Amino acid sequence: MTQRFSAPSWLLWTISSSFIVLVTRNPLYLVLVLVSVIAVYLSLEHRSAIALAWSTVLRIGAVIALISVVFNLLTVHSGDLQFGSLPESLPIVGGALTWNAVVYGAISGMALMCLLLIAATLSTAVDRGAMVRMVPQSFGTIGIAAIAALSIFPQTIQAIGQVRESHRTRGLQIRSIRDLQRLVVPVLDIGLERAFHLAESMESRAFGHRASGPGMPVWFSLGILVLMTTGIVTVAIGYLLAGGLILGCGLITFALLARSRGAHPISHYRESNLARPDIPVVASALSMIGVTAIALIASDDSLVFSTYPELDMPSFSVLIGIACILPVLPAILPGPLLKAEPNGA
Amino acid sequence: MLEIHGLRFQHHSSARPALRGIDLAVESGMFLAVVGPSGSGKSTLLRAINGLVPHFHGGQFGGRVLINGQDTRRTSTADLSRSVGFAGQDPETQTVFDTVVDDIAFGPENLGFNRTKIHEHVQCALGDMGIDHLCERDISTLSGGERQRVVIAGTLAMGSRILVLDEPLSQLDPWGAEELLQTLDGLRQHQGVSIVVAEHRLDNLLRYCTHVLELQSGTSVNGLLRTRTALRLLDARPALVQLAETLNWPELPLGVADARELHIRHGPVLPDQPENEFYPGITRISASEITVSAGDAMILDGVTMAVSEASVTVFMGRNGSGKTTLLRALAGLQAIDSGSVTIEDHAVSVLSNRDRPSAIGFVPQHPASLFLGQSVREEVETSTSGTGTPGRADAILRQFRLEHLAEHYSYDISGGERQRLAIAIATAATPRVLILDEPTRGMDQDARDELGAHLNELREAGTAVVLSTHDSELAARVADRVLLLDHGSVSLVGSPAFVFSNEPALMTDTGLTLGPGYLTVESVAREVGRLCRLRVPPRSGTAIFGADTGA
Repeated sequence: MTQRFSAPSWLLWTISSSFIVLVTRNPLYLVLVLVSVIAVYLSLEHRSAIALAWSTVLRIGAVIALISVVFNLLTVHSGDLQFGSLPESLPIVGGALTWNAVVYGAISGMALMCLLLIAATLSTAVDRGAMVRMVPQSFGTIGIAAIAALSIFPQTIQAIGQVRESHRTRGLQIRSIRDLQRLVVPVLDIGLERAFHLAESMESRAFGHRASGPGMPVWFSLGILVLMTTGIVTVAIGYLLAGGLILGCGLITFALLARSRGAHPISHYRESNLARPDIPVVASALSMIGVTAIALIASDDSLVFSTYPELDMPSFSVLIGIACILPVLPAILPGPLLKAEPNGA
Repeated sequence: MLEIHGLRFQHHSSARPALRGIDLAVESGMFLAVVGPSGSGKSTLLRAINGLVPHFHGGQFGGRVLINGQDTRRTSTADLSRSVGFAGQDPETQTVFDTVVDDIAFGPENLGFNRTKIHEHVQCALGDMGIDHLCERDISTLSGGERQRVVIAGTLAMGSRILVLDEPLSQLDPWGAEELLQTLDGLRQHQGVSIVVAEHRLDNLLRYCTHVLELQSGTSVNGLLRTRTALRLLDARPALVQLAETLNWPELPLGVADARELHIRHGPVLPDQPENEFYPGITRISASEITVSAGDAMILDGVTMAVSEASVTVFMGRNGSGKTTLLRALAGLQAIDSGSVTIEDHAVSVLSNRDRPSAIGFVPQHPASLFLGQSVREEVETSTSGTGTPGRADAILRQFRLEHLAEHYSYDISGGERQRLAIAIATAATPRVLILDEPTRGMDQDARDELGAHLNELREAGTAVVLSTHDSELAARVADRVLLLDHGSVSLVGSPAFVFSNEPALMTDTGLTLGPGYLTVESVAREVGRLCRLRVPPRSGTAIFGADTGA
């Protein structure tokens, strides 16, 4: 695939953009991130199957975001800006309808759309090959699972299209919830069957081959993954020091083990190392993480925002605001497309 | 190199064993064809060679499979892959990366080759499979046949000493099939690579392979045989063997060259056949100047064609020539840039869901996408429910030899059975136009013969049938007209004899032996029968009527 920047820099861009979205509910920051990410997403080519599949997911995400606004409006009845009410006798939905609930739902929806767009951008910008090559060989078994998972998504979207098309040729329509079974069952069957065959094919093509380093035991790989996920979640919910320590331990353990077991690393047909065009993207991503982390440690009030009990204008820090628009860099940076060339080609 | 001793295997979900006591020894430089009907255990045997059975599939495994002395039970599939390269049946599900070159490099990367070696292997595999031009293409934009080439190239690039290929010819055009067989033969002869291929398309394959193993119900029928010996014993007889038997030749030919020599020596010289005239009836479905593009690539470029009632039209052409897109456009499933498709003077695009099943039946390349996740009987009943003919579902199940599978879950049946069920579903509502995209994929010879007979019945009943296939034998048996596509345009249209004469790669083995007047063994048998009824004894090397066919 032809891409502007290397896979590692896109990965760093993803981590930094997601980090900001995860640590704040300030709508001003979220809007800036959303606009920046949309600009990057639109600047990419959308011809590949996976890009088309993601556009479907984004549409579904937009619907879910809208539903979250309505759901919040109907289920949360507090707030100072009331614009209507439903009869109290109605279970759950009965009560005041407030602008506070609408705004809170919109903020949650916006955060969801930000994360989906970031994921869509990564998938569109970096091909599966580059992502697979970033999976350490020591994680052989998990690598197969990860690739099967990466594949099952576009294949499932593709399967939905195929099945709906086939239903059309049989004169069938989905009219009720019961009819959904006719769509879901074949889609699951086809998706799982394809993922199964893909995993079979990967095994047959030496993925996890012993000569490329003795594989890390599955339980150990999973353990490290759980440790690192716990670290990220702990950081995200505000326990920075504890989360950082957990993350650090996970990373160090993984690095030491991968180094000791990866005596014969696999070779790569295409290099996907950081290069000169990546410098601004990497620098901006590190800046984003740095600024956000400092703001978190300093307990910057502007990161926190709630619409309850009163709906006020959110506060704004210029520095964090600048960090929030840094994700736009890949869309505006000039320069020719970077094509990873095979060595020896 | 490869030894199999008393191999038995039963899947967890199956009531009967898939393999029963297989013994086999494959030496270096052997080209083994594993043949047999659908469900006979071919794919399971191939998976046992590279360790997918039992490591990946589980089940009860007995006996031993040794690869260069390594027991497959104690070695993982990934580790065995250094010795055994494997390519499965369905190319749609076997590519890992998004671009062709990356996917081909995947195996060599995992084997730890250095970059220069990976590059050499990849370039070599691209060249061997004739897909250099696809090198940087996104795999999702390739046709089924092109994908199949990519998958096989990925296996070749690993440089394994044993190559195991499951139905590698199933989606390849005749040019691609011949190129692949020549490549495999070159690897065998010059590098001593052992090749094991499971295949239903035997006509070309048998010319190249050295040995044959025939399976039936998981058992080896006659053990490992040299190809010439196997010709006499095979249950699924290639066209040239049938021809030799029809013409009472004392020997069986292995290829067209053999057959021509036998024909010269033993005759008879058959009279020229007048070409069958095809008189098109009322047009059922037509396309006018349709153009389809994807990005910069033109998939269909101003195609105009029509199919009349009570006729069979076959689309042929190289992989990626636009056959599937044209079929989908006719079915109203493909967005077209310009032009129009009409069925009985109505635009296909405006057909309502209710009217569609009785207007157009469509069997896609992936038959399983037609299923609803019901039992086989329910799948058919759902499609017959609107016809108002009680008992029709049972009749259809019988017609397609599916009655014994009636209560099976539709996704649990084999590839060939799925294809039959898909055709049963598509024809259940008695559509006026039936469109089939490569319907013989994965079908054994009996099923192909039945399909041919069924298509002829549909034509007799007035249905306009359109299909795409690489199977020249089937096309010769059923087609009134063949439409040859080339780079999205119609390059030739006419009777099978006319098109095949102008594009010799498509010519059937019988036609290559006896001339374009006799494309199928049936046509030869008919002529011989006619001569016998006229009491004209066929004589060796002498024309009975008319001139020598020049065969």
